[in-house]
Amino acid sequence: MRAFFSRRASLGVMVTLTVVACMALATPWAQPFRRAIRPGLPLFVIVLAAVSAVGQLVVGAVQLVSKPVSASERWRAAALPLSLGASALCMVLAFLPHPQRSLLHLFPLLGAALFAVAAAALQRRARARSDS
Amino acid sequence: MKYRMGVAAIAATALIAGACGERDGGSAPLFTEPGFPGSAPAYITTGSASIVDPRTKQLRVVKPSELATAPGVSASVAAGGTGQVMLLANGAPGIAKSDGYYVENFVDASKHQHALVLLYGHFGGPPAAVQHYVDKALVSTTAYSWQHTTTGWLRTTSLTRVVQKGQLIGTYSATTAPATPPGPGKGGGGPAIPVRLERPAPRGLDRMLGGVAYALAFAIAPQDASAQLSPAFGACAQEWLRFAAAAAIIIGLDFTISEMPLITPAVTAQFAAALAQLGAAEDALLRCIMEHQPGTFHSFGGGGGPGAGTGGGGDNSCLEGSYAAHCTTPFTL
Repeated sequence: MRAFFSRRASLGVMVTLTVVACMALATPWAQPFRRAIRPGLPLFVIVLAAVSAVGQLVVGAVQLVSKPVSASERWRAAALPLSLGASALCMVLAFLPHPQRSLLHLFPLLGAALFAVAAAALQRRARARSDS
Repeated sequence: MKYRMGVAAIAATALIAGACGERDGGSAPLFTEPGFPGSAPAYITTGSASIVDPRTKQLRVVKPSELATAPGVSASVAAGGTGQVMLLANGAPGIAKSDGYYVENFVDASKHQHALVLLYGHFGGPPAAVQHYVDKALVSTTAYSWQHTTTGWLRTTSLTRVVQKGQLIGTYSATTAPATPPGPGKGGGGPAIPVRLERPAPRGLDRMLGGVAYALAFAIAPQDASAQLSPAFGACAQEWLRFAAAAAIIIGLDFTISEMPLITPAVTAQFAAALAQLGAAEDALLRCIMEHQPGTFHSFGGGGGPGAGTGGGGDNSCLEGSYAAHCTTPFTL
């Protein structure tokens, strides 16, 4: 029960911080800050998401091939890192330089969101399974 | 329910009253045009067009007779002759009190993004120059000179330069002057035609009823360009979708991290990347909304706007319709 509440609390804190940061970024006083960080953001996203994608995909691949358990168990163990890795990979694709921003740029981002939500669902199921 | 029906009835009544008030002309007109038919001074506008000869790279005046015979030459403006007189009424929208610039963005039916940048001189008044961008590329720039009359501002000269990839491809100039009395061999001219740039601003009850009717008509049956101007979803739909997707990634990662028994460096890096992505998406969304915000007037050199750095009062050559890089880049959004 305590773990449940600590998880809920950490989730609430993270979401609240994100919302507050978003609102702070939208204020007129944050305009110089936004202008200052604007050029560096794509590189930041590409580097970090690429590192994360490689890490998660490697972990997923290792889980998939090296565990001495049944195939379904291996897939279950690899699903979360593979989802997170795919999400990070889509983030990289969405931020790769492109001569013209078009609707095609939107699909990797939507894919990243889809995989992130899938990863959350997988993690939740895994947690529920381990609790029971 | 009754309340809603009441509001709808009032709105419908206002719509009908406003429409009838404008049609029958029983009360004050709903237009901002000064009504001076008959007593207006007569003006005549003459124009001339030139295009750049691709062989000699020189401007060549196009004669009306050439248009029909020259192969590969076409023009959407009359190559010469008379044209309409442009008059802005005093206090009409589009007249500034000081220097600065105003940007109007819209998207046409072919999904091309248009931006009209109105540049104002040191003493304000009507725009001294207008730049037209299509998909962020300058396609034409027009310089105007105006004469302040008792009824408004009369355009005396204008020079339009048509530009393609930074190269001049043609010009069109127009000059308006008082017409001499009609006589043998004289053109005659005609009264100045007032220009209405924006929605009307009548008085009293008409103002209220007309305003409600106009707002309803504007909202219910949007015009071509105005329909594209909604900063909420119309012009920034992609930015909204990007922001929503970035927020979904963050929420998904938040849930994942909160449920994880151990937070790995890879997940931490991914969370940081997602935060940066959310920041970038929010920044793009805010910029898009501000770009498409109607009625935003920017001052030269003040407020840290994009026009800052051009010097107080703006560069004279830019106000004369120059298409040089320093005249166009500060206003390219």
